[in-house]
Amino acid sequence: VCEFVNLPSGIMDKSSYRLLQLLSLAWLACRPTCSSITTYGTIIPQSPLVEIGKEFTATCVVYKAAKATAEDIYWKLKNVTVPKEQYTKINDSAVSVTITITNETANWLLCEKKGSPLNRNQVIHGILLTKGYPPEKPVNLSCMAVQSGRKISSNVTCTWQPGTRDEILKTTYTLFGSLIVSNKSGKAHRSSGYIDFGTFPSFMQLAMWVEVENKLGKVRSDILDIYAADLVKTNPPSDVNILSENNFSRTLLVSWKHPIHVTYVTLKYNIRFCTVGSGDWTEVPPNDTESYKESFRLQYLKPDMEYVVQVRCIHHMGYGYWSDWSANSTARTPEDKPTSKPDLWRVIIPSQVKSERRVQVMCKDPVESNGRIQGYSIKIQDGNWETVAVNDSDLDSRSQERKIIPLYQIPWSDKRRGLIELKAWNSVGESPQASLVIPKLTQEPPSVEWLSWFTQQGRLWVKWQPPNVTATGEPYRSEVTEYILEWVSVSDGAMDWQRERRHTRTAAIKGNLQKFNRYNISVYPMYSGWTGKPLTIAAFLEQGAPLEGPSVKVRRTGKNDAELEWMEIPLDKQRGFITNYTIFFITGGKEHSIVVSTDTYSYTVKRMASNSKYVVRVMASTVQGSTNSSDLSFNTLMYAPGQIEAIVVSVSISFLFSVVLTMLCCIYKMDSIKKKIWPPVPDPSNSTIAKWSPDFTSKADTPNESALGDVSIVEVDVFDRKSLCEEDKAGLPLKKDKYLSEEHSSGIGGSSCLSSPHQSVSDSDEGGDEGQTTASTVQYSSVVASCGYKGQTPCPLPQSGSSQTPSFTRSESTQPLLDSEEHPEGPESQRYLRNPYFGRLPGGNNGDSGDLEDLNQMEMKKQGLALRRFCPLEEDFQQTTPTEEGHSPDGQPGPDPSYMPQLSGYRPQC
Amino acid sequence: MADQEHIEIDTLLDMPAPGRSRTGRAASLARLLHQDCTYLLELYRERESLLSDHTPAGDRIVSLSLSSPDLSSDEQVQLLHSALRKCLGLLECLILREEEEMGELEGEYETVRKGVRDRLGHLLHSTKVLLETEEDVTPDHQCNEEVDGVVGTFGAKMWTYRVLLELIHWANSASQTLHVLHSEREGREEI
Repeated sequence: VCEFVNLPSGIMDKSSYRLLQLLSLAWLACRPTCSSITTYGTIIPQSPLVEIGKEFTATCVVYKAAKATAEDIYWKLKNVTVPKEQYTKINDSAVSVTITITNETANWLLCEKKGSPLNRNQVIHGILLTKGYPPEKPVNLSCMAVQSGRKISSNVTCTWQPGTRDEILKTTYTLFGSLIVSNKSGKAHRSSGYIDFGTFPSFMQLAMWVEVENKLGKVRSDILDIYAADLVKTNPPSDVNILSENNFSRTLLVSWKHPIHVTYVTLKYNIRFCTVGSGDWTEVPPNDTESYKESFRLQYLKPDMEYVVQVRCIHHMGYGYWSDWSANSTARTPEDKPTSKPDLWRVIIPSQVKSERRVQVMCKDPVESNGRIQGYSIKIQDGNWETVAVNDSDLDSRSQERKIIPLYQIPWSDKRRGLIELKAWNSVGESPQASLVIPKLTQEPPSVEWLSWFTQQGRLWVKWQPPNVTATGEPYRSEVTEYILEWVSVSDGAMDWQRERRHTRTAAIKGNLQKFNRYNISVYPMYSGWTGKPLTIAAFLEQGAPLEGPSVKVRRTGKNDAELEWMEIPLDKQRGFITNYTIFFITGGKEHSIVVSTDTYSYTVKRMASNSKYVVRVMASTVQGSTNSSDLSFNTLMYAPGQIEAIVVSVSISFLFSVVLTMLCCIYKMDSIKKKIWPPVPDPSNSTIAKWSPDFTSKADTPNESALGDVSIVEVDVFDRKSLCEEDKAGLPLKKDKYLSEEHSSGIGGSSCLSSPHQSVSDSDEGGDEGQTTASTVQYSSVVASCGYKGQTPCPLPQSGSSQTPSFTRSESTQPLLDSEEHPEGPESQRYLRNPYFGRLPGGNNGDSGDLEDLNQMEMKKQGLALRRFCPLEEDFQQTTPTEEGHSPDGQPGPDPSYMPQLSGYRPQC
Repeated sequence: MADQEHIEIDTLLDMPAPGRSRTGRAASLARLLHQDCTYLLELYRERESLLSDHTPAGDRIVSLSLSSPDLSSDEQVQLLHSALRKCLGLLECLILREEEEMGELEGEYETVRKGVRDRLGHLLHSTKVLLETEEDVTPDHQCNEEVDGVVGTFGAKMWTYRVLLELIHWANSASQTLHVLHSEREGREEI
């Protein structure tokens, strides 16, 4: 009770505040201390309501108990000390402070006593500041009374625009309405409210206003002096009906009913209409519907067209508000005969037949078809009129879109000129006639000079320069009468056309073009029905990045280059004009790129590293973006193409050369090589035995087998084989017997004509291995056939009897004979011993023969058996195995003389 | 009498709509009042079907004559104003009596009846403004004057019927008088 002094809060002027302050101070100064609670002072005013943006002054009065003077007083806004400049000392115990209230000003204002260095400041008193704005004046007050039932509602609803500041303080809105009779008011919201007048005060004058009030004050809007009629908004006209009358194909009668009795408000009306689906309203001139009426006839409509009509109303003087539009009412005007030509056009289709085209005649319904087109009548040149009926499914004249109707397709010679005429008809009548001239190919009128395109406001525009036509005596008139713009979608081949007037130079394509779709747009100048040459250009309504990248493949890879090849992106997927291609190739984490022109579809990337992996892709770009192909990997080669071949060829040539050189060398050195490989064999023909004359009978000459202890073995060189065989052939009949006789007779050496001459080594001393040791005891002998062995025989003797007598020669060889020779086993063993050097015996694994052969060779090598050759004719190729006793014929010592005496000597050799 | 009133209504509707002048608005208001009174009578007839074939007998309840050729337009308006005050008094009595009998209902009849009362008050204010005098706009009738003479329910209903007819009559008279006045003043009065 002692601490607080309740003072009226709010805004007060300075003089009254001053007075109040002084009175309060006087009361406080005289006030005895009446509380047991020690109080140190107080602040005036208590709990004030302060206005944001205004100054506020408070005074702190210090009591004696505080033991402080005015100099010790400090003001604080919460924790912030108010600067001393804002203090005013009233007397020794009272100090006032003036602060400007803002949104940020703290709520608590404290009066404190400055403390000692040891003590903190001491709070004497504090007050809570309640901040806020005074109410703002509402503006733009407007009121309305709507129709309710058959009269105007008694509720008047008003709206206004409240203030823009935040309402910190609680604010009330009250709407007032004043009538001469009475005043009414109603509680309102912040921006709207209503008043119920009980009965709508028709034809009375009203005053409407809004009052806004909070603790900081009250404000009133401007008073809206208004006539009741200005508040009225009636319902829209009711029962709107449209009547279509036969024989009046261009009018509709609209009727409605007044929404409210005329005594409440006299109305005027508005009518608007449009075709179904268009939404493009046409309003009947207001003057035509000013009067208080309930019907109106719409005129100048299109036949066979469905119309939507709406009506609204307002006070006939325009007071108040327009009603809402009535609900849609629709009606169709009756049909009329077509009043415009069908849109006749053609498409020239190239034909495979030479000098001929195919003409596809097509059309669209007349713009003013005035009904459903049921068919067309077409006439080509001098032919008859033919009827093309149109099914309901093919054509819906009631749709907004005019469909293209293909009529005829006929072959048309390049040299033919013809006139096509067309009429459309509906249930009422025929249209005017359309005509089109298809000129000879050589007589086509000229095209426009140039053609360009651009896009603007989402539409594709075409611009062209008219053809430069001069009168040249051509069959067509030299004036362009109109232009036809034709566009074809590249993706699906859909086409359409539109007509433009003769003076038009720029036109927007009216079709429903698709974005990112390529269109070929052609402009045909028309010369009184003659179709001029077209000029065509490709265009896009809107370009985008290609839908897919090019399809890339590596055509060739080299050591340091690679040839890439890609296909052009299909036109329907380009979605724009390709401006360039960019080739990216990546190796070792580094990416390189090359930009090539749009007409490039292959490129050889050079300066690549050999034997390296590359990833490559090609990016196709349009003005709106780019799209990459898929990545393609490949490796460059280690060697360039042909490099390996060159190496192989050079190596091969070198090898061949070396081989040839070797061969030449071998040939050149053949003798010496031969000598190294095949040691010289003594030629038996040069042996002393060869010089013997075999002129003795077989019996006489047949040596005693037992006596032939030593037989020389003759080795025949491989080179002798040929001659041997030839000789064999010559003397085959004889040989058989001879061989047989030899077989029989060669019990010592086993040499025969059929087989190679045997070399038979007698080995009397099995344990002996040194030739020298046996040479003194073994002699060699040669068996010489009567026909001569391999031609070695002297001139053949005349056949006498059934057999020839072989001659035996014996050498003085000391070579011991082999067992085989000493114990011949038969013809087989003789055959196997034919060629011990080169021949492999067929029965090589025959132990006996093999042993024998090996043994022969071994013996020959060891002992250097002296072989005798019996054919002196081939002495050039024959060599006899030198023996210790004998030498080869070529300069070597001859064979040792046989110890067996020759009976009749040798036959003279041929 | 009712048929006669209908003819008068049709005639009234054919007249051009008054303008926004005071006389014009007063004439329009009188026309609207006449419309409302007529409608109120229709509703009453519907409610009291017994009375549909009867016509109340007797003279006018409000016996003032506007047809005297010596009366100026202003004097006619003043007489009209007085007659309307009496009509308002009668209507107040009618409402009071019906509410005493049937309680406070909220049907269409009661709504229209209230509208007629309000609009009659509006018209009194409008004629007062036209007269530019400090005319009284309060009801000028003591309810017990007529009620005392009415015996029985039928008599009360016939009295109500007569009052409604009186309202129609004077509303029509007001409409015509004010329309004439409007016609006279048109062009002179600021809109």
